[in-house]
Amino acid sequence: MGRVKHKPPYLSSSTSVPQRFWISAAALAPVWLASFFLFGWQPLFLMLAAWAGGFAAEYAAKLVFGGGVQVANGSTAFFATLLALMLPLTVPLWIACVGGFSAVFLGKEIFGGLGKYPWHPVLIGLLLLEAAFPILMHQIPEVPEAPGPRSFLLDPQAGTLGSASFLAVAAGAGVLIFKKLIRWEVPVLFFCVLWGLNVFRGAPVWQESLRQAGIMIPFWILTDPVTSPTTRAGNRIYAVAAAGWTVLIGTFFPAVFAAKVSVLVMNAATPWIDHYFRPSAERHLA
Amino acid sequence: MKGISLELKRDATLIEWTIKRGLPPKKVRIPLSLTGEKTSRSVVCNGQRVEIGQKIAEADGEGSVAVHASLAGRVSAIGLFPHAEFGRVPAVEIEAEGDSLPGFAAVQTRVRWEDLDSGALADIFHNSGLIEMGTPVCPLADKVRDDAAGKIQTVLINACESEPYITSGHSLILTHPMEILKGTEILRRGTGARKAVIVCLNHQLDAAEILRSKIFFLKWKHLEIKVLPSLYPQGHPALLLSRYSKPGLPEIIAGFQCESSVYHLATCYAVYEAVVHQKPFYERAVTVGGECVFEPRNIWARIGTSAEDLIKSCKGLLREPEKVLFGGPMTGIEIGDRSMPLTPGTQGLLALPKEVTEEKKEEPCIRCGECVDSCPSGISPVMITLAAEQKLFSVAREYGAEQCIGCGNCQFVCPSKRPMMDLINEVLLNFQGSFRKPGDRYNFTVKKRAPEAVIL
Repeated sequence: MGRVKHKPPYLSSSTSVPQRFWISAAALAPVWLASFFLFGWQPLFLMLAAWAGGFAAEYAAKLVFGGGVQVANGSTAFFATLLALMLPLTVPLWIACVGGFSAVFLGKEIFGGLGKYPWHPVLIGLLLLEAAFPILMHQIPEVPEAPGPRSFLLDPQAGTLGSASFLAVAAGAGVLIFKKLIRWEVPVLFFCVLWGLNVFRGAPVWQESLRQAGIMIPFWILTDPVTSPTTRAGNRIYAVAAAGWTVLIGTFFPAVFAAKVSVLVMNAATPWIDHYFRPSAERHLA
Repeated sequence: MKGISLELKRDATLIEWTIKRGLPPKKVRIPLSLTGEKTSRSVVCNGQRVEIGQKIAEADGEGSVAVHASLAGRVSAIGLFPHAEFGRVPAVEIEAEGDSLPGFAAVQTRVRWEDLDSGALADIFHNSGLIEMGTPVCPLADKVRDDAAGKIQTVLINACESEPYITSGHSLILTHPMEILKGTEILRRGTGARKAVIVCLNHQLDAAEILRSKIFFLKWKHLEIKVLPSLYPQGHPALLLSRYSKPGLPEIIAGFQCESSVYHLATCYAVYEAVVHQKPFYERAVTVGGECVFEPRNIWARIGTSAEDLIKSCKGLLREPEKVLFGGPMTGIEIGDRSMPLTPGTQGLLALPKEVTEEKKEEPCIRCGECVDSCPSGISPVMITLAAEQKLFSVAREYGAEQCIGCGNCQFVCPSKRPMMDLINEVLLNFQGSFRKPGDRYNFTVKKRAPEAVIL
């Protein structure tokens, strides 16, 4: 008798999870190149240290929890690169290493690995570092005084590698949006709400908005698929609420810290958003 | 409407757009059951000589249909034989006798078919063993009588071919536009509808143009051609119904009566032949395609021909395929054994190589929401399947598992390559009191009277 196997569809799209994460990591290349251009070799060393920490966390997780090592899917490489770019230039290398380890181990693997973590691992890593080593983490690097058009690219006040160049961040974000790895409304709404609230508050609008956003956060952290809602409508609410929290917390705390905490808050709210803003609520049949 | 753009791969079978007569098979196995439940009563005995088009089984109650011989020869076996969809069903095996393989001799052309009323047409459909060939497959006479009783307003002719490779309907329009239009008109009269709409997709504009020009010539104001964007699954009957009639998709899936009814294009042609040429239903146009077929083409295939014989009609295989499918690659059925007979609802036979159908490694869900964005019925496949993995079937139902139309978009777009359809079917199977079962994927022909509030 012929086998009856009822399993359509037999085709599948060419996208894959490793591809998503590796492209997201590659979209960080302009940011990394800009920081290399500005600060020399130190960003590379920081990144390598973060990678070492991240991969060590993967193997440690394999030892502790068992199961396979999730290195090939690119999420660890992506998180470590992102973490390194969100560190200040002046931190010692071991900070990056500890950050990478804690992001991947405490942020991701402890919850069961990829797809299971409730908060963004990079934020967990960064906030742990800020809590544990506040003095090291809050040194603003000396950015060389740049003459001519180069100064347009720079934000000397930024304090981290990644936020030193607006243009590079925009290029990387452009790749993400073009490749449809992120929903474009999320960063756009986030910035719009920040801008609107700053107008309302009477703050210097553009500088304040960009500073509050931490520049990389709305593109690489707020849009993380695992910790954001699944629907388009849910994502809009999520972005707007995150911006609101950013301004609210930012009135009491430093701006970038406020952005990080507000993303954590909205990560925690994601299950509620998914529950109350599900796509088909219309006309249920008994 | 939400949907996905697929690589259509239609050109290979449309270069030579005529429909070829396939090589006559040496043996056919004609299934006597459409749905796996109701079986027609065989009226031939073992060893009996049958002519082509001769009735070999009678309809036996609602849901069964008269079956006609698709080959002249001798009945060699009557019994249970493998079937692509339902395991084993009763079938009649006919072996060709000698070299003479006569075609069907038309009895007489019926000139005045316009005079026939709805009941007479339904009787002709019943006697010719006509079948509604779109999903869900059912006896045409039953459906037409249902629709006439339900006073439908519009007959929708589904000419959308949104699945890759499948072009049999398209070449049917290109080769027989007038027959299609007359078949549509007969169906419209049979159901008592006021107008008929033939729905094409944007990549079938040539077919739409041919039909429009013929309608212009015929001056049939009650016939319309609509062109929809080229998205999969535009041709799904439930989506067409929800587009052109009042109740929403959930009601349609639940089987409520609406004011339109969908018929497949291939049915129109069969209707024309049955009513005008008095030819019983025993063959249909089938796409034999896929990268592994030597000469992918549309052919006239007799019901009950084995997949092997159909491939032989297209000069065989270039290389061994990874999967052989009955139907399109998105909703078709994989057949392990190539002696499986062709069934009336099959639009194509595809031999696909490993590169196309390879199953990829499954990763954990990253909740990217691609499935939600591409789901045409607007439910949340990600939440349903995550709940199904935890065996939380009532939660899965809250997220709309029963409104799944089984198109497979979610599984196609999933970057994690999760088995979405299996998980959704598991929900349907496990939820007690569900109005749908995984077997009857599109069980919306079972008409229920909707509450007055629903039919607007």
